[in-house]
Amino acid sequence: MANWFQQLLLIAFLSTSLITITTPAWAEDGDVDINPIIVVEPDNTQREAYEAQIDSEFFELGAYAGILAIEDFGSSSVFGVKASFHATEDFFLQANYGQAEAGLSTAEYIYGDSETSIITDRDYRYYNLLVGYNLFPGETFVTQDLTFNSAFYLVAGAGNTDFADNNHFTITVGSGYRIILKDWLTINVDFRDHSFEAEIGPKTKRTHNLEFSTGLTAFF
Amino acid sequence: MFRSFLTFNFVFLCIAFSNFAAAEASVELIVIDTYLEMHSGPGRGYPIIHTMEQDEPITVLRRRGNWYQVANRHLKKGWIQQEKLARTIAPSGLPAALPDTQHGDYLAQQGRIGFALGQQGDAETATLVAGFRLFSFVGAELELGQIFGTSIDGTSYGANLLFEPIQSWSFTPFISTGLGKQSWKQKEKLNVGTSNEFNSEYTFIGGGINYYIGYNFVVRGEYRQVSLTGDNDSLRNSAWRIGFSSFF
Repeated sequence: MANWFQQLLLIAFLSTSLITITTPAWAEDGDVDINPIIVVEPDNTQREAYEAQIDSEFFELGAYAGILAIEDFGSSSVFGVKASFHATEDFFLQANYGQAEAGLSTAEYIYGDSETSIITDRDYRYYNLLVGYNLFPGETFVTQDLTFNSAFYLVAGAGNTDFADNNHFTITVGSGYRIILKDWLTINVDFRDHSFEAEIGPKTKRTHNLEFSTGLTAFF
Repeated sequence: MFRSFLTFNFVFLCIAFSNFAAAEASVELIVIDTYLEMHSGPGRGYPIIHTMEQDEPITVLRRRGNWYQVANRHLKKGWIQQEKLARTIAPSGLPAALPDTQHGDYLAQQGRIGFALGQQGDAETATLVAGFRLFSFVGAELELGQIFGTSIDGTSYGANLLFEPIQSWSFTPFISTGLGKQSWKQKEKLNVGTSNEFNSEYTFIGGGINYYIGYNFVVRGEYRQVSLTGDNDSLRNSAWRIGFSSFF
């Protein structure tokens, strides 16, 4: 008897709750709430906080060493420092400063340099300001498990060459290859032509000074 | 009881501290799109190496130009473009507030560095330029340069003002004016007795076009009418230059 009564109660309870659940809130016709869309913009203070927290790496700084063929004066070792600013994924600005010491010209070599020397100051110092373009960004596969990001890039620009007691406006063009060894460390190989008008006695001639160098740079 | 209270406090402090340290060191975001793709490098052409799912938390590690290096919770690293990463939310539920440097943002007060190459009269010039935008339409610049003449060499430094009234175009014209000093030195081979060094002051008015490439790279062509005033004479020269700079 009690069991039968309990069952009845249960059915009554379930049916009422079922009705409550299945009856939607908008059951009354035409009574629809429209919530206006609120566009949430990222706020500026948060943006500044992010700016401080995210490590932005635009600068690349490093040193290089290589061979510089100084026209008429043989080939010498060259050492330099470079700084790059990566403006976009494609373009970068680069400044280089390098130093070399000119060797002997052929005439000096044969006849002795005191007789035929045409220059007294043999220091070759240059700086240049270049625009670079990452022509072929890609990956370098060393082994199946070892892959580095890399880029083949072109550079062009101008600067000064201080050679034989004179400053020379120098046009530099070249190409290079950058392998990113670690997230912050890269190795570069560069081939560049430094071209300027050199005074040879009373005349001038355009010389091409080819540089082949390799260096390490760090992003920061 | 006291000991367990201490332990609890210690653990709580540790958690609080590690949270604080994590918040200091990195930015955590949550993917809201159905998926987000990681590339192997920061640039065009780098292939997609991993796809993250909706609601997956990611940590931003570093930014290079327009790309961000991120790691997922399994410490898988990859690069995501800014536009894609903007489709994430912070743990607070607000959209990711990424620091952006976009074309329109050069109106904001931002620094720029670059260089310019050109000619002044018959002499070539190479100049380093650093600038700052004072207002949306006026920029101030400092420059340091070298001048390469046939018989004389010089260095120059100066300050410029740049008026750029239109801001929404990729090619934007501007008017420039400025003043500075140029120090000249005769090349040693041509040095004939007396003083081989002299200074001149200059003012210029000019104009040109800025071409904005991508987000923050600017190529500038400029023409200047330069008035040089020396110790005992004055001279008018025309100069042109092409410049490359980037703002950040």
